Amino acid sequence: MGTNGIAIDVRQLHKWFRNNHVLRGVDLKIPAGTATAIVGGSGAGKSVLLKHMVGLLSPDSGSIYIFNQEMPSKYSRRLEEIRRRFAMVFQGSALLNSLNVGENVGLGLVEQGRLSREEIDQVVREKLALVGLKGKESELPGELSGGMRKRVAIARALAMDPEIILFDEPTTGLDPIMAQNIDSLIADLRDRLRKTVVIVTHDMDSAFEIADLICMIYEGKIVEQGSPEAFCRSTNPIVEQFISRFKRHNGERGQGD
Amino acid sequence: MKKKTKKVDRFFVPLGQKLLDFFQSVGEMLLLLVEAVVWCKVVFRNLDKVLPQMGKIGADSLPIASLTAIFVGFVLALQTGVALQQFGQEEDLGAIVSIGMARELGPVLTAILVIGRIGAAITAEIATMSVSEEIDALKTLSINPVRYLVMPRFLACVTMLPILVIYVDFIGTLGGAAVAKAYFKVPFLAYFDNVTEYLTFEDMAKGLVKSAVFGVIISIVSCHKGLTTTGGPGEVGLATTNSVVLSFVSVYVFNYFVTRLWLE
Ligand SMILES: Nc1ncnc2c1ncn2[C@@H]1O[C@H](COP(=O)(O)OP(=O)(O)O)[C@@H](O)[C@H]1O
Ligand SMILES: [Mg+2]
Repeated sequence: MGTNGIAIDVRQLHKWFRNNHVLRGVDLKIPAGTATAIVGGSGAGKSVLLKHMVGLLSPDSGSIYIFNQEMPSKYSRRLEEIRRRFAMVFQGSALLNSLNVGENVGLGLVEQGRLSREEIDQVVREKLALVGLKGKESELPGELSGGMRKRVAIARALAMDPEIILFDEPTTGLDPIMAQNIDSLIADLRDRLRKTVVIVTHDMDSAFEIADLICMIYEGKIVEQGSPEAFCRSTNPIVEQFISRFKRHNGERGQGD
Repeated sequence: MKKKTKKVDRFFVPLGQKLLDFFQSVGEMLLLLVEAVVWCKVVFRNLDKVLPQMGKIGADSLPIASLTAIFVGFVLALQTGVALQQFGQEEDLGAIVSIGMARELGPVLTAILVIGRIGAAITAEIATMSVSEEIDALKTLSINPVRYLVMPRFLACVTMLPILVIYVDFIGTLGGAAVAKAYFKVPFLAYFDNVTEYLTFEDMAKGLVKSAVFGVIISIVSCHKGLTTTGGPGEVGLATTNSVVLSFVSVYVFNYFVTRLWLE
């Protein structure tokens, strides 16, 4: 295909918000069909980077290639086409509060207008069952817990049958059991459906559990990337500090056994 | 000397920034208007969003519009009635109240009500969606926010405002009739004869055209303020206030100039 198996290729990406230089030359290649975790402290620019990948924000300099196609900086038909290959699960779920769960999940398909009502209902049922929310179609987002909202958001993303799914902090603010469930759901997407998955997180547990590649963003740059094992052995002081808590915690657990 | 330039800078630099921001907003609003108009070509496929908006604008505004219209009709008849009585011209109340309502009071009062009741709600709703990333979510689902959110509100405002104005004109004139009868002993028949004799189709039409433009202004300003809100939930309140103020100012200014133009 000539894409060298690279789904998303970010080159020298810079982004300013007024005087705030958030991204300072990000270089990142995300392999297709794998799960990549982007980790970093809060305010590091993880969400901003993720939004550039779907064209919700446009670079001040640098460029982004999706399967070797350059992401247009202005709204256009080509941008629409590229976006169709993506789905994104937002940090706060971003469900439409005026629509019920079923309508939220089917929203993209209804507005696309290609499938019939019955076919859409079928997809909605299927995706809700996949995230463990069978029969919750008629509930309103306001009545759901944070974990359920997140799962509805995942179902909504899956309904569009994307090639690449971006998760912005999918496990933040969830209880450990729910976080575990979501982690295994994401791992499933990669293993069974062969999707390319990008997860932004500061939950090192889930990064080590699901990611094939872990990248750390610090002061607007990718300062370290590698497999979970390599990442763990990194001698970069910033990385060491970032994962020290996780290591200590796991080390203690190891000793107890 | 150096100090002096700094002082000047401190005054002019923010002023220049404000002006630039203002012209940028105006430009963005004009573009948003063009986009909303272009999306109107798919109105029939989007009736599921347009009709509820129209219903909402009508239903939400009707109670307050009725109340305002009837009291303004009362007061207008009272104030002018007292003056007319001195010349024994009470029977002209019908013309004065109905023309006053049709030309100015109907459109402007309705616009004010709709800004407070609908415009503010539009900005608050869309701004909330912006800060909770719902607008971004729409985009990633390949849903154009202008088609999905702006076009229905735009169409609803442009069509419902004139309809509300007709209603307000009518209720106001009725209110005038009640006062004319109660205080100035003008029979209903004489009052309405006077209305039909003096109130022209042109008066009505100009009022309605004006109100349709008010609908354009209110919907575009409200949607634009909502879509450009960034930051946290705290920004929603600020955006709503700004949107209401800007809508008021735009409506007043437009109304003044168009009235002057039509008088020439
Ligand atoms: N739309 C925006 N306008 C202005 N500043 C922004 C915007 N989005 C993000 N920022 C700033 O960019 C920085 C990185 O934000 P973000 O990517 O959300 O961090 P995180 O890594 O926690 O996801 C923060 O300082 C934030 O204030
Ligand atoms: Mg974030």
